[in-house]
Amino acid sequence: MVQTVDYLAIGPPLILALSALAALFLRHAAFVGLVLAGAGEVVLLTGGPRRTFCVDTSCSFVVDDFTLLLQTVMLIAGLVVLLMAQGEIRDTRLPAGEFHFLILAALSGAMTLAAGRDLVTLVVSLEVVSLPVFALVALRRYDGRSSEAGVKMFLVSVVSTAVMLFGISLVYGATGSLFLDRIGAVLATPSPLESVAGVGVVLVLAGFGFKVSAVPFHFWAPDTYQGSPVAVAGFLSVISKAAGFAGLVLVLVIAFEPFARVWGPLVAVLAAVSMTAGNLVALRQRTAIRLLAWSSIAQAGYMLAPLGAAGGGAPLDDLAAATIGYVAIYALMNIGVFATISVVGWIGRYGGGELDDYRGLARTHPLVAVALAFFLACLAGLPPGLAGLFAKIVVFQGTILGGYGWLAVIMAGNTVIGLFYYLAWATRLFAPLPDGVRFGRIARPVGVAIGIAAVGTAVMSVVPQLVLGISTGG
Amino acid sequence: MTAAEIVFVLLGVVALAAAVLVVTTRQLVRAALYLVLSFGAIAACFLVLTAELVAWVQVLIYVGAVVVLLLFGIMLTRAPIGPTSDLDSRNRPAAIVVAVATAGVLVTVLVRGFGDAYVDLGEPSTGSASGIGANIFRYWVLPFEILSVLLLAALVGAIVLSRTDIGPPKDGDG
Repeated sequence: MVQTVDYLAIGPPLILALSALAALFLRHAAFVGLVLAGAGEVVLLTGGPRRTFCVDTSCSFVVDDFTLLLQTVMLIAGLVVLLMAQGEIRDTRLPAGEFHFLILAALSGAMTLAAGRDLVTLVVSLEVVSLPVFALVALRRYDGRSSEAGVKMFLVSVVSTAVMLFGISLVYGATGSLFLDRIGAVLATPSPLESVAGVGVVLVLAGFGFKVSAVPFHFWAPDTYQGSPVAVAGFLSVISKAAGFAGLVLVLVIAFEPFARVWGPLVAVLAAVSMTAGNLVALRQRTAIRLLAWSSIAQAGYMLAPLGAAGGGAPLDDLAAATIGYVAIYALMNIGVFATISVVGWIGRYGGGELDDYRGLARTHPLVAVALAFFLACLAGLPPGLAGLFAKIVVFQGTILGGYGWLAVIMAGNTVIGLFYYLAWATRLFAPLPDGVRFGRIARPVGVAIGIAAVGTAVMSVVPQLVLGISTGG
Repeated sequence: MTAAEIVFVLLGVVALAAAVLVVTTRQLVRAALYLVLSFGAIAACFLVLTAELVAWVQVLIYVGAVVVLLLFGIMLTRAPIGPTSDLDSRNRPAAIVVAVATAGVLVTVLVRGFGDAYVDLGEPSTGSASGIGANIFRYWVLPFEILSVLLLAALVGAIVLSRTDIGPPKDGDG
């Protein structure tokens, strides 16, 4: 038997991998590749689901609505990351070719992960997302904090992969298959190996917990964000996290569905602890980048919450749809914040600057200030940031659907805390300009990046049904 | 017990003892050499299980590449050769508790789950190079191809991290 390959289905990640190679030598190849991959997505969007690399009825690579949504969001976020990096690449003389190559390689891994439907493909593509980022984080070699950030992320990521691989080997031993749908079918029948599979499920969950930086596996995130270039921190906070959630949802919903009573309560506790710890620490932050790091830990808690309600017997597809919808909307609004701070934080020194540096931004750059305020309102879930509000409502709905009232109450409390620090930042933008402060000119690529993120978030605010309600297998 | 089982248990004891020595010894170089012993014993375990390709991969990659890399790392960073006291961290009691607890859970679960179950391997060629090769290139082409992107990214990442011309322009070099 020879596997047939559907080149249209694997087109977007394949184009990205090839254009990554070209980007090592040609200046604009990265953008050409992103546009071509986007065209591929449009073609795929018009057709039905595609499956390829199949063994009998199980396929390793499936392009359905779930895959397309995540891939499209990742492509847009990747474009914004590359655009906002242009200024920093020029000013700090980062090697442009290698930077583009590493970002595109990681992006192609993330896109493959959203389509992977077996454990080997998921693990390998998760590594493709992580490994180029180690090099990107440690790229500012003249800065000691950057190397420290790289080493910290490397160690945590390697340990988490080892834990996950051990869990996968236990699951494989108990079920005899690596395809997600077959694992789900085997686990649904009672067997003496249930306890082995249960431990495997918990270990896999822990491994993904590191990747999405949920508490208690979060301690690498703030230092890593601070030490890396702003664009790379944006990549970590949006694309890596979306990839981690894609893998988590696929594994939990398709393969480990019969074990929902085992992992459901665990995920619920992870969600509650992540959002509470993330928000409480974010309250005390003075610098933009660390605030975003802790807020992204808290946001990971919101994204986990609907999955946590799975133990209550609610239909898993609805819960997964809530998580994925939140991930998609979060990706657009959060990448917008990173694009804006890459402008503002470059006054004097790199890395987002302090929150007080943002005073008076609206006086000199009204459009940027309004965009940042809009993104922050979205993250807080407050009108006019309707996208964030819709995402929060869907997540609340999912949690209550599963009968986890206590989790919904914790979420409500956390939303209030979040409101406080996001708004405290937003109000600084409209304060009077302090004497002697000047904001630099905004480079054109960064302006375009902010524009793309703003348009994307605005579209989500008007037609959120585009991304809400999409689950696996559709 | 058959002869194969006795050999397997003995190899397991050697691997475990060597692994414990890796973390307890106070000399860095000896830790690396005990690691060779542990990896070698595990490779031999694979051989007893008729997984010959995995056994040779274990020898080539872990014993051959990883440990040599470790020894080079020790050599090039001028780490002390003799016994060093700072190899023991103050977290030692906590680490022992975590390690024993994890091992306890895993061993209990595995023993209760599999007990003395025997897996029928079918034809003996499953662990051979040709069997694994046919499996990879028939059923697992996709992960294999994704790995090529991973390896290239690792290569480029290593090169870019060793470049010294990165950084903001300093005074006088425009």
